Amino acid sequence: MLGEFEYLLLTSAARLGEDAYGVAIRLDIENSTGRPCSIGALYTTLDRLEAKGLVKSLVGDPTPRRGGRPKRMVRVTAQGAKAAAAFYNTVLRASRGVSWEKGWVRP
Amino acid sequence: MSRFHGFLLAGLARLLEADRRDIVMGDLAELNLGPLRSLGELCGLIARQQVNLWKAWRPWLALLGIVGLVGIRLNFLASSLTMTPWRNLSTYLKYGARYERGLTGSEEFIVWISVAAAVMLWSWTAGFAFTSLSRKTVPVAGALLCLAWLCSIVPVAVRSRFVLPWFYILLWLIPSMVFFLPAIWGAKRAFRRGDLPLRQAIVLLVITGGAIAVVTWTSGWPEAALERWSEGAIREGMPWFQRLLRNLFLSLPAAWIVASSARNSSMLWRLDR
Repeated sequence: MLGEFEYLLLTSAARLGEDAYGVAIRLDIENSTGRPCSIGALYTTLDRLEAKGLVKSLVGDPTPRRGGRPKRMVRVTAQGAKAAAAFYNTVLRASRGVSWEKGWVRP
Repeated sequence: MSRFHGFLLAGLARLLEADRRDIVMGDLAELNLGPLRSLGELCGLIARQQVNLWKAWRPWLALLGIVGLVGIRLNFLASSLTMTPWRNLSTYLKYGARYERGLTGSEEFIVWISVAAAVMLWSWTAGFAFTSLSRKTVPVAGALLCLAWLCSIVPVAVRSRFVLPWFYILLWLIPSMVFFLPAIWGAKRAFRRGDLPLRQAIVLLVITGGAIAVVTWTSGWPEAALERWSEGAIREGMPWFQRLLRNLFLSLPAAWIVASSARNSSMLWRLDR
């Protein structure tokens, strides 16, 4: 079972498709969650996902904006897509019959 | 980005793997964060990577086995190298005579040179095995070791109030270099070119074993000389097998190098088939 951040990363990489690389994924996660995403968290999670075979990394072309340095391009593998779908379905199933609207749950 | 900040970032980034370094530096350039934030991000990445690496057993074996066990013994042996020249020098300065412990000049030299050569060899193998065990943790572990070494220097310097004559300091520093420089050389060799070919590794193990035998033998000479001189009244000598046992674990790094090379050779052989 994936962790929350692993799922966010896979979703972001899937959304960005061909343009998925370190900085783009980071900004996408920050935009969608409204929370900061550090390089440390991003790359250690990417390494873990890659070790599990859920993503594949490639070295992308360098750009002048990056000082001529390459990018780490990320592709979600079929196994990664399956794991993300399983996580999503689990959250959906676990959330059935529960509403998080204000006032629904009494503290 | 100021020059100092760029220098600091580049220095810290050296703790990352070469292929990762460029990517992360590129990300930081593209994100255009402030100097403090980019330093914080880089430190965070390094810390997280190190925490992950130290969850494995290899870095701990390198730290406790090679540094803790072999390193301390080597440092002790290297420090003992100071004793002979130090005693000779201080006796000469005080009384104008050679320090006498029952050994002839050539015997003294053989005892000293055998320990010095063996320490250099064992330090090289220890440095090599340390890197071979856990290449990725070497920069951080090495930095910690240097810090520990500096911490051992500072109390000596403070106690002496920085007024030790230069030759005292030299006598103290040279043995450390006899130990440190070959260890750094061995670590560098393993870092750049990886494991040794099996034949070379076996030759290294044999030479290491030979050095243990020689040092075990010669380290008994001073006690034997004292026993001869006192006509048997003073018997402080340690039995040879105890001396051998004390030195035997210095062959562990070489044994690891052989095991590692043998594993690589068998993997290559399987791939060929």
